[in-house]
Amino acid sequence: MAELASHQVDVANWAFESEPISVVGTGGIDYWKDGREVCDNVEVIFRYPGGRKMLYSSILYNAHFGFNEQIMGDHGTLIITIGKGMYYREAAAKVSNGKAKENWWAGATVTEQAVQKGIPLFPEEAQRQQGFLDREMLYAKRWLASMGIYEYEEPHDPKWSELSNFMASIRDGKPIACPLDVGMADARAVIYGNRAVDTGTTVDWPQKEA
Amino acid sequence: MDHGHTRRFPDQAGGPPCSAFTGRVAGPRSSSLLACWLTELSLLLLLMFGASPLLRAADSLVRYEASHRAMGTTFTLVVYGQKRAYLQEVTAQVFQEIDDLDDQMSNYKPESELSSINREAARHAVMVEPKLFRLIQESLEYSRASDGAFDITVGPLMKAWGFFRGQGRLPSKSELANVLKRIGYQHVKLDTSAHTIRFDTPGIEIDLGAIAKGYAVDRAVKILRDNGIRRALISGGTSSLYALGSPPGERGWKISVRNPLDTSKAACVLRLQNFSLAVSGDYEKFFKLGGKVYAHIMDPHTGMPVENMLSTSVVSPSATDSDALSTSFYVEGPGAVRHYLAHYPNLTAVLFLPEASAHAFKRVVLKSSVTRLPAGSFVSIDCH
Repeated sequence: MAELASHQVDVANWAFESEPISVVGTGGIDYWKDGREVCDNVEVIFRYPGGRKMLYSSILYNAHFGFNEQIMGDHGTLIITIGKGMYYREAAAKVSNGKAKENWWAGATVTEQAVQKGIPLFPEEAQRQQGFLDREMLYAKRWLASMGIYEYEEPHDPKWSELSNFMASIRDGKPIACPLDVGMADARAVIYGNRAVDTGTTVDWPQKEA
Repeated sequence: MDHGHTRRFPDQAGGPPCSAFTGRVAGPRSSSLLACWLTELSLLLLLMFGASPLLRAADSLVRYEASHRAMGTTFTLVVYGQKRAYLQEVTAQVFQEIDDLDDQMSNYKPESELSSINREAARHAVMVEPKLFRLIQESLEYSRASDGAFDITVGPLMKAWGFFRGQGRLPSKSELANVLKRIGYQHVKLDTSAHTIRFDTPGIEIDLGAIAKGYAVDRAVKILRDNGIRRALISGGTSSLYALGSPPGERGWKISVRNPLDTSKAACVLRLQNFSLAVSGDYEKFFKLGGKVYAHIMDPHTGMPVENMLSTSVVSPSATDSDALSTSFYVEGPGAVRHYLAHYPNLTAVLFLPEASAHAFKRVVLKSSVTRLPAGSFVSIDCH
């Protein structure tokens, strides 16, 4: 939970703008019988206010889906992974909370492409990668880099962003991008999640004082 | 409490009157009075909870809903009737019709009649199936009426902008200039006596994407009516709808038109009975490049996506008309729409125009100068 689930809990807390209110879960050391003391699979469900839920699954003996977050709502599904994101529209035709017996939506055509095949979240990136010139440019840069003529500039990774933000906050007093309360909320979810897996019970978040 | 009033019912004309609601009768008359009392009570209950034959019929109606993928989107149909199995059968017939139209009119299917026309009509006159011929004829009438704002020959333009099977791309100026040479409804020549079509310029292609869904909805409604269905709603991809009759106990089908800047909210709420609605908008099919949004609705005159409109809604008795007009009005803008509505009856258009702020828009509701709603129709539009 701490090493892996904490990232997804962080995303869920950010997306829901809230901490969970309870968690149930299961898991075990069912495959890697190598003396380890931490589960090799966990399935955890965090409940958030308003009936929203976050299902977390981690299986250390199947890598098919890799790391990704799937955010599912009544408008569609976002599937986010490192450097890539897709959006799949829901073809919703009816208004969900209308008081009328029949309450329908009308709007621009919802295409099958958007519903079934998805829309890239960063079409500019997708398009740039697909362009002939860009591909040729990339090969040329790689070749020049291999000859030592061109210094290949890697895009900054999240660690660079976080560290530079941390330094800037010490140096210039800028607000930190990932403040303490966000980390604390994440840590609570990890601890309660582990407790739910270990005990097989529902673990509730302590009631906040009014 | 004795209300002290009596009533006579036709079937009791010769008998003693019922003393209603007394509850204090006794003696020899008690059994007949009790019967009277029960009769009146049951009649009262019937009046209160469903004596009306209309209400009884509505209560016994079955609701059946189904969705079907066709024409690159999803069609949804809800029907009310007496028997579920019958409704299922009619629904299957409707979806079969839409599939047949898709097979005939799709420019995505190489084997369709439309694809065959697009391949051959520049070389020789091609005979066209009468209903498709009539639809192309109607489309050209819309093109003439809108001075080319509605144009079924925009196909090559959609391809150049990558909206055909793709997510969009920015064409070069020279590419656009070349494509524009192949755009123009005037290049489509119809022979009404021979039912043939010919293109007078190579490279012309017909794309019925701006009218086919509305036409399919109208054909579906005909099937529903022919099969005795009186209450139904059909939605083609949420952009072409027809409200047949009304749902039980309601006046008109409630339809919320999406706010083009926040599609989870309604910008207008309509109630329609025996009327159609079509919506065009820039918020479902577009791409962003360099911070600029390029939507899929093209101005056939410039070859560029239309920028001064967010969405249009058109309400009309015919779904074919409303589908074509929602695109046409989107391209033309308010001035031309006013001019059109001065000459064509029974139409209402709601235009959603962009404001200086990216978070605001202006609604303009325009109606035909002449409105004579067909019998049994009902239209209410609330754009708050």
